[in-house]
Order: sequence, then structure tokens, then C-alpha cells
Amino acid sequence: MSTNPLLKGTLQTIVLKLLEDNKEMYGYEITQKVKETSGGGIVLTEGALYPALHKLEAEGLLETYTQIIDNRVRKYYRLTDQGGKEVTSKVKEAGEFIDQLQTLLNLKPAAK
Amino acid sequence: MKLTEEQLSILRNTICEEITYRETYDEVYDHVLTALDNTDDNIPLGEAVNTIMLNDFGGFKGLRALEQQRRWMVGRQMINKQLGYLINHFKFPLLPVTLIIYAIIHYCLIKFQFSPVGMFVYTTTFFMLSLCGVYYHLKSGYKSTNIGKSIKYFPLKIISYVPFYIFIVSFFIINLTYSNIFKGHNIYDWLSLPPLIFSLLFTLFLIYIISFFKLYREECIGFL
Repeated sequence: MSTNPLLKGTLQTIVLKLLEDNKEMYGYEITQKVKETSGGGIVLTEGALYPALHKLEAEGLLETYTQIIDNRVRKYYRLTDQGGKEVTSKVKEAGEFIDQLQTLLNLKPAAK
Repeated sequence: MKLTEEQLSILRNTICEEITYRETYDEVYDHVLTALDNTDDNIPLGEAVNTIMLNDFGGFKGLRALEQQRRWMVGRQMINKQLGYLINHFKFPLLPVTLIIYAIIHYCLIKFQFSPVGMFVYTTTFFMLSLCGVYYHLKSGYKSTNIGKSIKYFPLKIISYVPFYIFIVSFFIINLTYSNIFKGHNIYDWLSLPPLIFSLLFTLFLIYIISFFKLYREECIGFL
């Protein structure tokens, strides 16, 4: 349930890429980072983010650990070795899709 | 916005009322507090919490949906892991161990047949083994805190009770067929199964329990 429905298919890629760049992050931090990087144009809701994080964790692409911060448990997510390998292909796949979409929508001519 | 101890307690109670599992609680509680840290002090706490809940989780209804979705995901993951451990016993390097277990069980079945003493020993062993899973499930339940049980508690229950249900069903089927299981009838005739298949079923039962212990060690120690 992200603000922009177009994000749905790329949410996992965004999360993986962010974790590749930042090593480890917690849920709230991820939403703020996306908001900040996109200049407020993309807003992730936790209702969309947490299921994606849990799915990636179940698939073995992410691992978690907890830390006690101000007397509360904070769960950090980071890439596993398998997740690290997956990022490159997911980003490449997303890039190719965006290129095809641009071509389909006549935003740029098809590459020859 | 910094909260007082009393406000923190109210917040904890509010979240606890809406969610069931500890893992969700930890994530939501941390999320709300972090979001409140970045909220203007002039906004009343109740309003601020409701806004965070609504905007970030789609309200308490969304929170429950999130929890439900996660429960099924964790459940599937644990059941798949249990099946994975089970299947690994039929592949190298565990295959020789499985064959040894099978050979020992088969030897015992051939050697002692279904004499009254043999039946008593088989039934007791079968029963005690089937209780192991139940014991570990109950044990993990006692460790639950007031925040709530772990999300792994429910799938663990399903997986751990399987041997016990198999025991109960087998025991009653055999007892219904024979007035007394310990009379020493040859139940090969009843099931029309060769001893080899009987040994295989016992082996499967044992391997399932071994797989359960592996799952418990990996998934549950320290979590439940």
C-alpha cells in the first residue's frame, strides 16, 4: 500500500538497493530514506514495506538482528550473501523494464 | 516529542490490545516511537499516534491484516523448513544415517515380532516420542511474555502435534480392530503390509521427530 501504486512491482528492488548502499537499516529508516531521496515524491507506507521485508527475509535475501535502543527492541535488516548477489540482477531487471516502458510510452526512441 | 513513562505505558497497552504477536509488537512499537520523536510537541499524543497508525499502517485494521499476512508467511516458511529437513534425510550425507535407523527398526520388528512384550515396548516408545513435540510446544508457551506469544508459536503447534495425532489415530485404529493390542496378533495380516513397509513407516515417524528437533533448535530457541 505505497502512495504510488506503480511502485508495487519495484518495492523489493528499492529495499534491496537501499540495504546494499546503507548496509543495515530498520523499517522506519527505510521509509524516511525513500522519502528523502525522492524529495518526498515517493512515500512508502509500512503496510507495504513490512510485508516486503518479511517476504525478502523468508526468501533468504535479508537477515535481521535486534538491538535495544531506548529500552525498546529495534529490528535491523541487512542483506545476506544471496541477497547481495540478487541486488545487481534486480536493479538491472528494473532498469530494463523502465527502458521498455519509456519506449512503449513513446518517451524515447527504441535503442537499435 | 518525548514521552513520559506514563504515556509510554498507555502506548504499550494500546498497541498490545490491537496485536497478537510479539514480533509485530516490537516492530510497531519501535516504529511509532521513532515517528513520535519526529513529531511536533504541540500535537496531542492520542492524535499523533492515530495519525501515525492511519498513515503508516492503514489504521489498526491494516495492522491486523499485516499481522495475519505475516503469520501465514512464517507458517509456510516453518512447514517448508520441516519438510526440507525431512527430505534431507533421504539425500547425502544423511542417507546412510537414515538407512542405519531403518535397519535397526527392521531388525527389532523381525526379531521381536509383535509379541505382547514387543507391542508394549513399541507402543510406549511410539507414545513417548510423539509426546516430545507436544512437550516442546507447551514448554515454549510458558515462556510467553505479557506482550504476546511469538508468531512462530502457531506453526510450531501444527508441526509438533503431528506425531502425537498419528500415534492417537494409529492406536485407536489398531485397538478398534483388535480388542486388545497386547494380545499378540500379527498386525501384518490386518494391514496386509510387508514388514519392510512397516519399518519404513516407523523410520519416517522417527525422522520426522528428528527433523522437528532441528527446526526447534534453529527457529525457536531464544525466540519463543
